[in-house]
Amino acid sequence: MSAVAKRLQSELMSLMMAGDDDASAFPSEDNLFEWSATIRGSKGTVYEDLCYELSMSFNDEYPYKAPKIMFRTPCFHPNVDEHGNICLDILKEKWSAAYSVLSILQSLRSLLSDPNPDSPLNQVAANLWQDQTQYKKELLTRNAAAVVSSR
Amino acid sequence: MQLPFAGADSRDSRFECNICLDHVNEPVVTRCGHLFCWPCLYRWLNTNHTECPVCKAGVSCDNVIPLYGRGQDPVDPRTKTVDRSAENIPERPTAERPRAERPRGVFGEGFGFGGGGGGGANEFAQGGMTITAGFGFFPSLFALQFQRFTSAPAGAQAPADSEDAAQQAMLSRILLALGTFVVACLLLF
Repeated sequence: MSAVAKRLQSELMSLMMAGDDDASAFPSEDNLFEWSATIRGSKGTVYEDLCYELSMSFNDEYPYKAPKIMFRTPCFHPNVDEHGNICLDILKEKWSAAYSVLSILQSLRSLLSDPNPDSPLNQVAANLWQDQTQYKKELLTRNAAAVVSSR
Repeated sequence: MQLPFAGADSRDSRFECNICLDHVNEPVVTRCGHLFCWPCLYRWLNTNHTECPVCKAGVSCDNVIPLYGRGQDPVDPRTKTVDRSAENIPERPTAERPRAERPRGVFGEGFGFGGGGGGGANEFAQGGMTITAGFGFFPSLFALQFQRFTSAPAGAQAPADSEDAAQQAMLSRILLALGTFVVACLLLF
């Protein structure tokens, strides 16, 4: 087994042992390098109880290079674009080999409730963020639309 | 997707590499205290990184400390995750070997026994201790004086001890004055 596969196996093990309801991830049936993950918005934030599905794609250079992560569920957020691309420093230049699937998912959960206004990928969401009541309304409308369209 | 092997939860993660999450192979520890396999850390530092993957403290190949456990690495070389020759990974840096500090107490006590003559010899040993403390700065100078002086009471009789002690005390004062003078010279010029 390659070093990357071994590390992914050991991450899977610790994820399963952690049994976190708010952040979970599992490899696809036939490929250990392609994972799908689910995160739930933190309590007390506008994203509370909203669940998002993500894809994580690892390559041979993991963990020296960050995995490629995208939102599969449409996500209305200042740092997520309409294709699901995420702007998060730790997935780019601030990546560290000591980060793991779990730490990435935790960072994404905190990104949801704490966006970085300096580099918005979604200008509409970024502008709306100031008004949390209005933002929540817009978020729930878009979320409902996304759920309907995915059916 | 197969399930991970059974019994995995019994593993002790305290001694796992922070990069490969496996038991450390050729362990090194950074100055900030984080444990890695040498091949893992070397590869990280050779992909344009100069910081610790865990805490972002500065790390370079030269300032890590190798850990030498007891016995041989129990890992079968065939299962090693990184092929050293393919990746061009050099040997681990060697450890520093600071000089052992000279224990003071042992010196005085040993001398007391050497004198062989009851209370006087012990007092004398005490005197020796005082000098050691006072002249720690000048080990070579002190050692010279001390050596010369110790030879005398070794063969001396008990009555001579008190005289020796007085002599010793005076000598210590002279040496203290001399030492102070040298320090003053060093500070002033």
